[in-house]
Amino acid sequence: MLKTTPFHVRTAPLVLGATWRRWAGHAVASAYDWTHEREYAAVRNAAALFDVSPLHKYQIAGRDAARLLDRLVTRNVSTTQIGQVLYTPWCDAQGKTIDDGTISRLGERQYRLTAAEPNLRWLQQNAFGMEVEIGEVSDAVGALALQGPLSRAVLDAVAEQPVDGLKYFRVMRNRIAGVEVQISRTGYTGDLGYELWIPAQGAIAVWDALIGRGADYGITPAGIWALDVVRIEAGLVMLEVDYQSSQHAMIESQKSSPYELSLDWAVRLDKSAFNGQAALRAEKARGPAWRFVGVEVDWDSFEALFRAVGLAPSLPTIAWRSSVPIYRGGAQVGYASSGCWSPLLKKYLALAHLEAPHFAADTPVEIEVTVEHRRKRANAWVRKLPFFDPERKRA
Amino acid sequence: MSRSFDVVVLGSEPDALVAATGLATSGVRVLLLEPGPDLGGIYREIEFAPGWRAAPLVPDLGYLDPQAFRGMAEIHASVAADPTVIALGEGGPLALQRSAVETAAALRRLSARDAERWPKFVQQLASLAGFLATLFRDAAPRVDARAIDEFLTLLRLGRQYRSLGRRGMVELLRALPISAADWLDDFFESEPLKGALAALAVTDLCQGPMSGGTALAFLHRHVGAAPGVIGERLRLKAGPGALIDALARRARAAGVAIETQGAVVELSVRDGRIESVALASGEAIACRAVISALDPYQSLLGLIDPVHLDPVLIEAVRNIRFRGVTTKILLALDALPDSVAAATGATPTPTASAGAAGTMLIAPSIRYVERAFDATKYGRCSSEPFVMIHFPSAVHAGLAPPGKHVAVLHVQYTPYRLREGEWGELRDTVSERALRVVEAHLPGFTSRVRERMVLSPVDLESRFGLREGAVSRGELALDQLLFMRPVPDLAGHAAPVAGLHLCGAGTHPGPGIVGASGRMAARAALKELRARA
Amino acid sequence: MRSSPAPGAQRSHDAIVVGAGHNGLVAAAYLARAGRRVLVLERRPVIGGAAVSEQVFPGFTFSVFSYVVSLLRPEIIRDLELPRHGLQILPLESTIVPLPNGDYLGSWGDADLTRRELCRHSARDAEASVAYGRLMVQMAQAVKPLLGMMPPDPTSLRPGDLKGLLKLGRHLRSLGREQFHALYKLLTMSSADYLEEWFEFEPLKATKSASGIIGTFMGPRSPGSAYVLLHHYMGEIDGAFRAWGFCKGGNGTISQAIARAALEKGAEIRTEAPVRQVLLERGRAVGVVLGSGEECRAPVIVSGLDARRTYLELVDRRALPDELLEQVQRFRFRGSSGKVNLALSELPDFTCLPGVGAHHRGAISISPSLDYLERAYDDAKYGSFSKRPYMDIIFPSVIDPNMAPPGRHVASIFVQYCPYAIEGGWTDARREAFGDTVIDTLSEYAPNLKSAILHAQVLTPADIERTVGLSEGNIFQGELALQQLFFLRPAARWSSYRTPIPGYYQCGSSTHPGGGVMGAAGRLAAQRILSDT
Repeated sequence: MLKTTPFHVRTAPLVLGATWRRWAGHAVASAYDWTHEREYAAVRNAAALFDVSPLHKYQIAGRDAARLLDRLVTRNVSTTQIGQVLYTPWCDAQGKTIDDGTISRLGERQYRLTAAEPNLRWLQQNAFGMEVEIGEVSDAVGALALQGPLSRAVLDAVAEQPVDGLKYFRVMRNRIAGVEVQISRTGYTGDLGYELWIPAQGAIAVWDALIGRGADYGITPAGIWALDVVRIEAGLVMLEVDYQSSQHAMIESQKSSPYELSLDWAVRLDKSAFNGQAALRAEKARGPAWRFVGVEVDWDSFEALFRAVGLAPSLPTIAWRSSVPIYRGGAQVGYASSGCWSPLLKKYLALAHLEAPHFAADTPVEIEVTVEHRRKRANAWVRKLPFFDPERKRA
Repeated sequence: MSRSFDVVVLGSEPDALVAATGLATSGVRVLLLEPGPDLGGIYREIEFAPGWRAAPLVPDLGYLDPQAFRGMAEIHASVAADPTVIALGEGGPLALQRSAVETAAALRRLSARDAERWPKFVQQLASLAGFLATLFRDAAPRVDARAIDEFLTLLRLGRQYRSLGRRGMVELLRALPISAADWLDDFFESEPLKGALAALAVTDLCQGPMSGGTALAFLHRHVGAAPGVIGERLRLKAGPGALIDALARRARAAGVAIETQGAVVELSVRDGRIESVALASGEAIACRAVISALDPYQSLLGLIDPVHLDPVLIEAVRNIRFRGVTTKILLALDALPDSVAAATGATPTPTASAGAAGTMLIAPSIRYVERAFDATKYGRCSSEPFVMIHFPSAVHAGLAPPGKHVAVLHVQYTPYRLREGEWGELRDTVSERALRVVEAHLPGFTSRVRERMVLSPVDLESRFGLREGAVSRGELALDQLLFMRPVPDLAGHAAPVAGLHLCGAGTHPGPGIVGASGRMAARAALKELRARA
Repeated sequence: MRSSPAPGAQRSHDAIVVGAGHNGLVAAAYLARAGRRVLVLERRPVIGGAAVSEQVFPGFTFSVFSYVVSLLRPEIIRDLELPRHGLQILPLESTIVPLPNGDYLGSWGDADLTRRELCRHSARDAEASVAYGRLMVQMAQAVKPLLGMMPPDPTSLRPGDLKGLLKLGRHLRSLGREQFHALYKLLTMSSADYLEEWFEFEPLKATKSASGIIGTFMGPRSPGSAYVLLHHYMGEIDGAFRAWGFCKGGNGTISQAIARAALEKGAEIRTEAPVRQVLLERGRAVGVVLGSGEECRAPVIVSGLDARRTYLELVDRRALPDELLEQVQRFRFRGSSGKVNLALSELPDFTCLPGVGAHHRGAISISPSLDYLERAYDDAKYGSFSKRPYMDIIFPSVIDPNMAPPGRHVASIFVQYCPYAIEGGWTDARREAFGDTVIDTLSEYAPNLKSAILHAQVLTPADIERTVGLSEGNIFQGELALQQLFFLRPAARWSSYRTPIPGYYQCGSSTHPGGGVMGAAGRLAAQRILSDT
């Protein structure tokens, strides 16, 4: 049996189309409804509730907790304040990205790390010689992402303490339906939103409270299909879709540095020693060979390809996760790793890896499109990410 | 005003002294720090009973790298035991003598076939060990050799390999992975002979003679041995300490500053480069490079903040197998037991007996040694260990009061890690078992014992700083040799932190090959210093 | 096979293959495919050598000896169109290890399920397992070209061999440092040490290391056993790495399919035609003499028998150089495994997983700890079968219902250690005691076993030798130890399927790349013959 999340008894009856899929060994819904349109709309219009429990979660505590995290990740953990959350990638000694996730400082010497892939062994390997306890709490902690313009209102209605004061990338302790929870103002949607960290045994109570009071605000359980579209709009990179963990890559060229993932802002070369520091320093001096960028497909060109065979354009309403070549001047200069139709922006968007020097914003490129079994190329532009960045996200 | 040197050398065993001297001769300012009160590390003699001394861990100096010891007259004052090994077992003592002809003659009593094969065996041993000597002359070859000198090394190795001849090449390829038991079985049939040779193969190894790779260990131990000589390379008349004294004199003359009581607690790193060494006294000494002759685990994981090291490397270093299995028992003897003299074929004399200079070995068969090993797999000490007996006072009379003697028992297997019990309680048991074994073969031996000191692997660790009590500072195994020693990425004597270089038994070419790693580490350090200058 | 011509009829052939084992058949099929007129001579009434399916008890079909497939080269399956000739390999994906405490360790075909199961025992191991699997795939990829390579002579200066050595060198270089070192470790370490670098859960280490000891006379702690671990990882089912398979109809179907492919191309196969000797004329092989005295002549004679029989029995030793004879004489066989085949009235009900379930479709491994395996080895080292042996069990009738009458089942139990050289020699009473030990041990995990047994067939290495002809009952025609692999298999200089006698070739598992139902040796031998003649 695949694993199920702590919310399974509530979510399972909602999955109308039996669109189960795997996420980190768990059975999760691609969509609850027959299609994900309503779920997508809820993220950008009201409040969507994602079960993100399959994320890997580690509790890191002890004298050297910050020291461990600081040698692990590329951002500066030692200057993080209690209640602060950091998004950060982490690398191997060659400066290639292993994973990315968030670090929440929950107490003086207490942190939580979230990761897309299991990282316990890597954490333990990094903790050699340190006084630190690493707790694998993935199954003990359920996680919900409440995302959308009305998410704050929903939480204010159900939580014991108001969340109004909770700033972007901050975390607070709170209580919902009598259950002790942590609420962080984080998410994977590029919108106003929160993530709730809930002890597994209190999961159902919290779910029920949210769904019960949230009904007034249009709360909608949402699945991976909706999440895929909003995270592309937000330009957020996804492990094992947009890049491979350097620990999983079979060959060198499958690995990416944070610079190649355009995560420069999350690399603090000047902090204390961390994995990959020397390699990243050298790469920075050299300039990265690749960049992770947005690509916007030119609508007219796209439409013309279909019109030529007598069809209307076929839109990828479900995001794709495959490798699609990108060309410039006849030569391949990179590849897109995910893409979708943005119902909000009315644009066909893709996230792509481009070689130097083709990654500058607004560079005209071509993307491969399959039209009636034949491979064509549509015009497109390199765009700065994110594609969609509402003010409410930070406000 | 804080002090500053170009290079700080950690440790004072021969490789450290060789490295320090090499650098100082090239005009580099060198400070050598010995953590303890005396120089020499495991080469140091200890007084284990009033008036009785011994350097229990260095019964034999091993192979002194000719380049590193060039021009040192002191090393010529050696003794040549004959026989070198006296195997005690069924059918009376078997003496392995320097002359292959004489040994063959002695073997005829056990097996005519073995006698006939003995000269062939020692000839093959000499040729294969000779090949290893070439291999150990330079830094270990790398699969991705790029530099021209690496290619030259490879080329020379290739030529040396070819020069073994067709038969020699086959024997070499075969001898690398095979077990000592299989290798010896191919030559010999008499158990006392095979048992003795098998014991020599697995000395200080946590392997039995039926384990793969132990034939190579036997070859490794005979690199630099005179042709035909088994179980002996070099013993100085004045004991191993004399080598240290000579090396220290040479180092000082070259301008090396030598300090004892200089325990280093941390190597400070900034931006991936050694910046200074911090002493237990609180002093920080600035330096541009460090050469550490401590074991690789201690050098890397004991002295450097792990945040400066790749976790993958840390794991590799943690995986180095040390696994000490030897207990040394130091015995103060009233006199040399008559049975000892009888076994050597010499008449007992009150003064040093030349015959007793050889190693006495109680390992009557391969199975005996293998059974002794079996216990370690389950974390126990052998109930019937194999025992090697050295009589250092037979070479160097000054180690014991006049007319008295020192015997050092090498007792195997006694694992560092016990599954049950503690070493504190086990010491006496091990000592009794060992003496029982000795008494059975040398009657009257125990009655001559006046004092004893038992050094278990745990004691060896605490007293001599040997991790897990392993004299090898990293088990001698095919996967821990050459470009794999101490771990693949550090095989070039350079550590992942710029300015840090490793030498000593824990690095290529390994235990018993003295001076080569110090010479190579100095060369690597010098090259790095010059590149930075 | 009914294709024998009338006895005494002299038909001329281009090649005669001695022994209709799978490699002999593969060689014959490839030769026939190239238009050669091939005669295969088999001593037994059935073809297949150790890959046979027989109805030992009415209605119950056993894969009497070898019982799983993983290494059969996909190119052979394609080239000889084996599926058209009846070959069908069904997946055998899970492995369940019942544990003494009533729990179990499972690994399933699905990565997520396996991870979840491993997490139950060790979250760290679950992660390590993924990384380990990836490395093993890389290592298998690194080794695969060597499997399909004609081994060069490492002692030769001939351009062809130098080219081969150069190609080998280039291949190793192309792996890059990291992978080369990983491969080197696999080649030289013990499986226990190797696995201990990765895992902490004892039954997991034991079960993985078990594949490293299969068919060898080594314990998991002996260096050299890690390589065999990889050998078994290289299993492919139609190109899919890492999977074990069960051949529909038992492993005899493989032999039958290859034989059909050979027959279709015009090969002739005679059973009950034991070859007494290879005929030599003017130093060339020109034919064979059968047990009946009949002579069959052909310019090419290919021996599919093991090295000992190929060189020491089939031909006049005087025709062979001493150098080769010596190497063959010391080539080690030492069969170490036995086989118990059971006809069952019902499936064993395992205490750890009650009832009939998915676990019956995969393998059951009795390998609760490394100590368990080592103790099993200790027994064998000193000449008895393991009191508590390692076992690998499958239930062919669950995967292929035709193997047993409806509702009934067959079990195939591979048992190690069961030494050929048992103290006092094998007798019926000892065989019975061995069978009882196996059944008693297994009954501890499945209490209904004894009452479910309808018939039992117990095979010791002595039985395997007597029935199939494998020397000392070694299932790989010689141990898979590093000193007996690649260009040393079976002997340096004679590893490329030729023998010193012109016209005489070898193609059995005694040659590179060794044992397992792989067929690679037969294919490479045929290629060698086709290029030579």
